[in-house]
Amino acid sequence: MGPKVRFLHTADIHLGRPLNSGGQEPPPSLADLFRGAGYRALKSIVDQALKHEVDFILIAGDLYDREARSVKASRFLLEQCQRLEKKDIAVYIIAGNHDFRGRKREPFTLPENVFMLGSKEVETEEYTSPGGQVGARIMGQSYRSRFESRKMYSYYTAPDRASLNLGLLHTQLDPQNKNYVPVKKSDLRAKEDIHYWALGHIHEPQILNRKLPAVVFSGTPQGRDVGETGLKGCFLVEMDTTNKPDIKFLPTSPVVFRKIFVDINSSSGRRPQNLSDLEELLYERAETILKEDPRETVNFFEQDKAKILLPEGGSPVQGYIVRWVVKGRGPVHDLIAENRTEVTAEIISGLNDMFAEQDPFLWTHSLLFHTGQQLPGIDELQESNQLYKEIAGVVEDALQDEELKKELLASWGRIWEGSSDHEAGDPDKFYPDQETVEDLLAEAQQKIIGELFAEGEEE
Amino acid sequence: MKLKKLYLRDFGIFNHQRLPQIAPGIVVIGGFNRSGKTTLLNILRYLGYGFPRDGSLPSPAHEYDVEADLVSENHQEYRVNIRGFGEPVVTCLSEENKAKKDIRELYGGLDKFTYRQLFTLSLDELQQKPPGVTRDKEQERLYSVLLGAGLSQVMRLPEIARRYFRRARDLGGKHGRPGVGEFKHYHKMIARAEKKKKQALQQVDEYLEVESQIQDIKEELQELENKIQDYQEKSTRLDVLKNNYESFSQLKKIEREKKEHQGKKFAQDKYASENVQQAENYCQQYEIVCREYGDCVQEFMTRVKPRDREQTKNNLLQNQDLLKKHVSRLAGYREKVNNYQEQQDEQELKYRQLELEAGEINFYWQDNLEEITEIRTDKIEKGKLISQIQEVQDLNQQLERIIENKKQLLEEKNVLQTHLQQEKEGQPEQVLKKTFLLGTAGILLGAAGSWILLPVGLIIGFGSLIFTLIYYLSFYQEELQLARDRQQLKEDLEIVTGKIEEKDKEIKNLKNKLRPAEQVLDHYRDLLGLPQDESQAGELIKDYFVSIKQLQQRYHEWQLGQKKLNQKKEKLQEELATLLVYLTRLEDNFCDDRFALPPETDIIDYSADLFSALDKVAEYLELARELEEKEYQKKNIEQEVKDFFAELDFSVNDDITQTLYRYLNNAELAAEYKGLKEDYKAIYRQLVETLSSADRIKTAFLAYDNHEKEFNLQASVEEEKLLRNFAELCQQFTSREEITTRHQQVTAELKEFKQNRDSLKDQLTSLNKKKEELSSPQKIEDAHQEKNQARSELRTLAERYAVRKSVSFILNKVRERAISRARKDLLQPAGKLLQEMTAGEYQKIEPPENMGATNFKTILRKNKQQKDVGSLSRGTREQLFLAIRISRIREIEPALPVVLDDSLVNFDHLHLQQASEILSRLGESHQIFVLTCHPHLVDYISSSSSGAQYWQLEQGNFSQTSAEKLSAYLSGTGQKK
Repeated sequence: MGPKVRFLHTADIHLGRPLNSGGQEPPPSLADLFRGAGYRALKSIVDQALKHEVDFILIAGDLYDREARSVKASRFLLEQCQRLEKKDIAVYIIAGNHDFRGRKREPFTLPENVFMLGSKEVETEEYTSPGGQVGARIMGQSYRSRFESRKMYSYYTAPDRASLNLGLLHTQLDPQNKNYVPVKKSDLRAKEDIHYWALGHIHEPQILNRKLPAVVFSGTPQGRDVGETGLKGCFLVEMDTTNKPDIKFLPTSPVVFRKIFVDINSSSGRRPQNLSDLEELLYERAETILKEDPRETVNFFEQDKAKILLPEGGSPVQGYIVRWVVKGRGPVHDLIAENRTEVTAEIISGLNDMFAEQDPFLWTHSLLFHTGQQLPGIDELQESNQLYKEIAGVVEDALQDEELKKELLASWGRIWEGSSDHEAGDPDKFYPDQETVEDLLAEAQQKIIGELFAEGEEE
Repeated sequence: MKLKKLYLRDFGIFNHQRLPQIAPGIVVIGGFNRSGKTTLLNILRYLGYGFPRDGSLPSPAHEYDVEADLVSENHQEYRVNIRGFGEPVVTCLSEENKAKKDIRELYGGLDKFTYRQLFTLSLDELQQKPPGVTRDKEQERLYSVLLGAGLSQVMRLPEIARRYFRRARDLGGKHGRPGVGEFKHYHKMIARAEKKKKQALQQVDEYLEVESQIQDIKEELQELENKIQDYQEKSTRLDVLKNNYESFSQLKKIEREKKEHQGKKFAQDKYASENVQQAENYCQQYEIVCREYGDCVQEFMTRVKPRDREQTKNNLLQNQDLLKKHVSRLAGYREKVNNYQEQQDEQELKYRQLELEAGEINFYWQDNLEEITEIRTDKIEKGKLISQIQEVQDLNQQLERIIENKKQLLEEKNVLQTHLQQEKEGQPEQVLKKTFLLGTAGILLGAAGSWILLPVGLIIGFGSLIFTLIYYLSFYQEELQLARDRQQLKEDLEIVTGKIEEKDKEIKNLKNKLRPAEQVLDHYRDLLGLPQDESQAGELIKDYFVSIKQLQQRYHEWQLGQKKLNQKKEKLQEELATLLVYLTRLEDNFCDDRFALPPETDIIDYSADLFSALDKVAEYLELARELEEKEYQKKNIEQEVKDFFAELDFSVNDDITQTLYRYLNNAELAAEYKGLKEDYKAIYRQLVETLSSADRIKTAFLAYDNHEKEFNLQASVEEEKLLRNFAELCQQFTSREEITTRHQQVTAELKEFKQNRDSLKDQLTSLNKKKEELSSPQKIEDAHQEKNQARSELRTLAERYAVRKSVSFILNKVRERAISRARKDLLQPAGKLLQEMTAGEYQKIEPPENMGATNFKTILRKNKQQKDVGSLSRGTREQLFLAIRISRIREIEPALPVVLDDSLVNFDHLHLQQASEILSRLGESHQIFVLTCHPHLVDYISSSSSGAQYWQLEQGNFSQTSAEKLSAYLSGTGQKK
């Protein structure tokens, strides 16, 4: 059993990229926060590294963001690395699809504690413990272009297992996806040389294998879009060559994205009769959210809060950016449908006026209405109406049947032909992820039912 | 649902027509053309929906009026009434429930279009495109009707799908391209943001480039700075040279002058400034003293006019003490003289006053005042004189008073006498007599009257008595008083006369006493020298005595004053004589004729001349003293000058002034030389100071021959070096102009260098600013923000688009599935019907390729597929559509009445027979009205269906009949009714 090594695993920092706070202009204080949240997260990572006296930090790609390249970001990174240098904490970095050019043509030269692993082949850096022995081997290979189809994981080979072997890899972990290192989880688990796979690219933190070799996505330390919901952070890992690693989550994101569903159905409590009632319902819900412990949004430790270590000053979370989805059927739908655009804008303004300046704040990114007309006999319809069943069947099939789904998505038009990584695709197209498809089909179904079984038109 | 009765009160050809018992199965109504078959078809077609206003129906006589009794599936009977274009009104005919019912319920909610297209068939309906089905939408609807998606909601699906599709299209076009419709705006925004982002992303590269440029410029700038410094020094040197070239020339000139200067030989200490100053002072003072001395001599000679100046002066000065004494007393002299003269005037005035007063007392004394002293007032006793005078005065006063009393008594006597003469004498007795007479007369009258008439007598009697009484009272008392007054006057007169006699005696006594007293007074008059005038009363004598007494006193006083005045005069004359002697002694010294002394005799009277002489002498003495003073001062200075020069070892002439001027001349030369030396030194210092005035200048000159730039020199060495370098540089030029020209050249070059430097600095500033800007992430963040915002908005639209498209998609899918099911559930049995109708020639019906069209496909026995409906014969096509319809009719619940209006006319006999068979089967569940003019159809139905009912229709009149009769009627062999 080699010596224990303590390190931080992070990735997808996308330094310099501001948060997507939606269509409304935030007040100056929040605007600053939204621009600087990524910087704060990185600073928080460094603070935590110093606090926990880690041996080194692993950054599994996309430290930079070629789409948000700036001198400030470069300078900020330099300053943070200098802080680490003072405490002899090394930083091992690979480039991902967003920073495939790595350190080329950056304005500032990083200090000597920073190791950028190359893209030509898998490179190995050795971490020597204070005792003088090799504490860990860090292996990694950077992207050489925006897309990386090389199956580079197969070249992560270590001379022995006496030292801790850590693999830094930026991948979608999808063998079909040729853009982001095609590989599957089992391939990584099969690599016996490696003790810990420090993965990057997927922004959701995930511990895919807790035993050796551990397979872990650290996720991004700060979500940047409503698609990246929940508390974000990095992993503090303590491990040796034989035992399964001790992994703890260190929250770093000052801003947490959330998607909140509000049901206007009578069955779900109070039923808003007018827009004021609806606003009140949303405000109450917002109050509840603001009172919640942000750790509730972490779902990979099976709610074991002990594994989530807050920084000294408490939770780093300063507030939330929320996408509201109002669903269900009720009388308020007609009022919404009458002037959906104005109602949406008005409610968003009201929410932001009320909660933007609070501490913690709540900023409304967007408000979606998946509502339908009031339909008294809906239960009976669901039970016995053939047409209703027929419609539900088609919806169900569209979600399950790939062919039908493909046909459906084709009908959604070119605008939905975006890439899952929207930076890689056209910026004016969107990617229809499963959740989106489900949401939109549900809304469509809602409308159809309204059209067929309720009075009047849905839109 | 089936029709039980029909009553056509007013509808086209029909007027009050009844079909009282309609069979529940096949009802064949035969009639020739224009008998009313098609009208009946229309009535049955619209019975459940009301008559349309489109003009397709024959007009009524007055108003459409139709009544029908229906029996529902559950044997409930209803009556339907339609009047005009109104809605059908349904009334339940059962006893329990008379309530109205919705006709649609009886028709199972089936819509008008479907009922028409499926249940009421003329030849038209059996076409691929029946009348009223022209547009795609209607075609599609018909398709749905035929294929059994007969539920109204499914029929609505295409319309809703189309609506949502259209809405989606409005939002983002048919294909949902980002650059289309409402997407376009955000698409453009994103494009703009992307462009901005791309530009912003260049920032880092630009930053590096700018950084590199900054380094280049800094190096270039450093070189230029060095050059500028060099030229700056050059320029400074030339500038200093230019500005100090004159000084340098002057320095050289002074150097030359110094060498040849006369003042060089004079010892500077002998001509030290304080000595020169002293000499100048002496010169000035001596000049002033000489001038003042001359003035004094001049004035002395003019004013004093001495016979001999020196002697006179000395005489005056020698006697100055005595003179001073006299002068000091001069005011006293004048006072004394004035005093004496005033007293003298006063004495004279007093004497004249005494003379006047004496004259007033006694005129004689006016000019002989001395005589007054001879009157012996001392021999008169004042007391006695006064008492004597008093006695005489008292006696005179008593006498006067008694005379006055006597005069008053005499006047009183006269008055009494006058009164006595004027007073009347009183007669009271006369009055008494008259009263008595009157009384008696009255009584008598009364008695007489009483005798005549008592009352009258009484009245007269009493009246006379009263009158008598009044008379007595009025006159008697008056007369009595008069007598008394006269007596009194007489008595008073006697008393006054006695008093007058007494007074005369008293006067005589007093005059006897007065005479001796008067004689005493006369004696006194003699003593006082007064005339024996009796008029001079006692008082006057007394005043005269007092005045003489006072006059004598005052005269005596005057005499004493006069004596004192004379003494004073003598003394004054004596003093003035002393002064006169003194002045007389000096008199010879002056040849001034104004100096005149008075004679000693009238010295007091001419004292003014004496005093004037004394004033003059005093003035001369003053002049003499001034002259003496100036002489002394002059000599004093001369001595001082001599001493001064002796000390300086400077030869002195007799002429002091000349000596002084000689010395001062030498001093000037010495000073000039000294000045030159100082000027030289000053210019030297000035140059050194100029060269050390600023570090810039010093550095420039030190650096001239010092390439190592070693500047830490000793002060003196540095000074020397500065001057040496300065001189060396100066000597390189022949004139100031030359230096100026060179300086201008250097300045111009320097300016150019500076301009270049400024330009580089500007570039540097601008690059630094640019670098600063480039280091800011603002632009990239803004671009992301813009993009995010636009994407957020666009996503909302995209989602809306997707939802709309999904609605369309789902509905189309649902409809497709319904159609697909229809293939199985409808077209299969329809295919069998067709097979039956065509005696197996046609095996199957397939739905058309193009959904929404009625272009069905038929499969022949040999599995040969026809292309479409259009390629079928008319009869076959009608059979196909009939088969499909019957298949659908069988499917729809409740079973509604079917109406066939010569629909089978194009069928050949075999097919007609087959069709009749099928109808016969259908008639078991449905009520079927077969309207025909073809007897063979009646025959076929009759043969295949035993329970069919037959009606003959002729000119709008129904009559129930049998199959045979109807067939015969229609074939023209039967008898017309």
